Amino acid sequence: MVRQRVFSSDSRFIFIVLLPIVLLTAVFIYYPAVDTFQTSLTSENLRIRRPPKYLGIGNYTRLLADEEFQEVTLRSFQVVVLTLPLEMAVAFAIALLLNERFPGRGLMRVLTILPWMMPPVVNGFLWGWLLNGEYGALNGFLYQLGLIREYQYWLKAPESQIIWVVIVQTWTRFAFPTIILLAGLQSIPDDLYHAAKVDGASSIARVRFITFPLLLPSFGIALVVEFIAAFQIFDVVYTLTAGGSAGGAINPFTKTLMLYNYELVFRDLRIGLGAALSYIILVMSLAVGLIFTWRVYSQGVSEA
Amino acid sequence: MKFFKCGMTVLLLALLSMGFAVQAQDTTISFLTPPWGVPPSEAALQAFTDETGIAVEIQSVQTADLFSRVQVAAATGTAPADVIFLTEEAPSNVVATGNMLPLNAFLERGELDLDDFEKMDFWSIDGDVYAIPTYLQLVMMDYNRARLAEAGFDAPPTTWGELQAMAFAIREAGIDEHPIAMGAISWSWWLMALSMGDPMFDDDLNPVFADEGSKGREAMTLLLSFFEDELISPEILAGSISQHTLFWSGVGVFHQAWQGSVAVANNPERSQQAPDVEYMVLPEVGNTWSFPAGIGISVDSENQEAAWEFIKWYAGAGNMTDIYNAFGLYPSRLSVAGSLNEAGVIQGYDAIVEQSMRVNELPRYALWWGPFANTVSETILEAAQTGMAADDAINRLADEWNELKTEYE
Repeated sequence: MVRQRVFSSDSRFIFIVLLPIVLLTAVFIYYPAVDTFQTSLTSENLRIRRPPKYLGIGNYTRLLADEEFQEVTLRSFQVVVLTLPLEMAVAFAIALLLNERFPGRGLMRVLTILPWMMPPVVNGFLWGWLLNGEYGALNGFLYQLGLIREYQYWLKAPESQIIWVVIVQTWTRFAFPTIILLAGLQSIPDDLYHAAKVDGASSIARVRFITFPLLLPSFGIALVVEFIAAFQIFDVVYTLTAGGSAGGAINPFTKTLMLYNYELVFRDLRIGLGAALSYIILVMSLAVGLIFTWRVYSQGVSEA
Repeated sequence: MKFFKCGMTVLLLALLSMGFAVQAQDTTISFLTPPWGVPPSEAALQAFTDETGIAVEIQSVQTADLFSRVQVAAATGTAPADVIFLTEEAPSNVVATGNMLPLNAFLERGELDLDDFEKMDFWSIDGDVYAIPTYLQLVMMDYNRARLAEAGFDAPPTTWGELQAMAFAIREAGIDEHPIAMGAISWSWWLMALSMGDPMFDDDLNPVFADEGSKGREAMTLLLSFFEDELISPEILAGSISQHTLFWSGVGVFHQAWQGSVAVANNPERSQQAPDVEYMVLPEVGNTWSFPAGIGISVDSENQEAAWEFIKWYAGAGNMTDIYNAFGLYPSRLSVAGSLNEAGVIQGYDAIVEQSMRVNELPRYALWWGPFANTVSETILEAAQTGMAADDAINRLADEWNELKTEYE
């Protein structure tokens, strides 16, 4: 009987349908992942035509003790810490507005997701031109308004470079959390707001005690996805401040983990070291992602 | 049924033989190149295809991406393309890493007049030739003669100190806030150090640029002061614009340039500096280095014969002339350069000849040259933004060179 149930036609159908996906995942994801891990245990460097040596966890310990690795890790977290609150605040405010009924709401919703549809590389170049100190549009605009007396070099100082990276990343990504939060807002029953109004709750109190707690699961999803996007930021930094005329050089002041990984693997061809860094990034992303999900979900469930 | 099966077999065989015939007649090869290596004349390329039956699929990418593609393909044992255009740091990033096929067997056929090519030795290692030179390049400087005259100077500077003094005078005269258009990159330092007479490396590839009181140290100090005094536009530090784009947009009087750059700078459709730009022979000792481009065959190419046919066409007089007219890139064939000069097409010919007599080549075939060049650019960028002392920057570069040398040798 058991044998019959295991190999029922439904099971066979599911197995056959899933098989290509499992095979594709195995070939294109798990096999490269295992191969990358093996490489991370070696001294493989494509510039040196010698067989790679087995180093064990040598690449991992070398990276963890490396000052540059610590700097870029700190910078990646700095980008996350600056980006996420800004992005969530913008997304929450826009989601609240888009949840209201007003003429042209559909069009506004479409316009809101446009920056998200644009490739980050295009956004990076676009902002690079806007911020250009010699003939950028931002200078022209502010000068016309009389807000600045002379043109500013917005991307000159290392501190301002990071701030602009955060702003452009927020601009590029805010639409995704907006959509998630908007979907969350639409799932909150109107009855709750009516009842709160009857009880005399102000609009701020309604947002604080109804909207915000019930949106926590949506915030959780948005935060996890956006954490990964900000932590693994590459395109915006590369196009906005990476090096410009400097060929393969990478600006040391905006170098984040993914740029460092690119530098090791594709520029310097230190494949072994780069593979180890990829795994460290994976573990960090996973760890922080899991903690985020667990904290926000458990808080959301208990408060709901 | 038997008749049907026989018929189908005959049909199948006929189709297969047609396929082979088509394959034998038409070959498609791929050509990986930066944008300025794309043959400018589509008609000429089509004529090559019509004549030889070889179609060329062009993959145009920026040089950094070109190096990445070659290296990623090499890791998988496949050809990134059949024919590869070699320029800038290709000697270290592509040739020294073993990605190119020695062309000796093709050259022995005598199909190319090798005596007509300059810099054949540049792409040769231990007797193996890895590329045919396509254009010659010297790193040079050019300047806007009219704007310099406006500040009261009749001739370009003969020392770097003079150049700095002129730059201040140009600013004070209100002609240009940022009179020097140079990048926060390795090239700026090499240009200044070589020009001041620093040999940079000895015969054993030791970094003599770091010796006490060296010209290399002096050059770094002066370069960083250009940034500190904003004689170079701070926009360069943002990394979002090159010194060339900046100069052509009208910012700067002195410009870190190359052999052929004046053709672009004096083109009113591309440059606001036109028509007043001229070359200047580099100040002081006046040494520079060259980076001739070449074209070769990937070591993993499966279409080597077709690739060689394309190289012969590419290095021909017609295509070289087209490339000069489109990009101002100086032909590597003596006969082509002579014809262009006789026709009065080459601007600043005398200055080019004078500069070409002052060349001190950098060791760009060293396997670690590519990573070192990147470190130099990053160190200059960092020093210019943080006020790092020039001596500290030089010491860091010497340490990096020695570490890389130990690792790669």
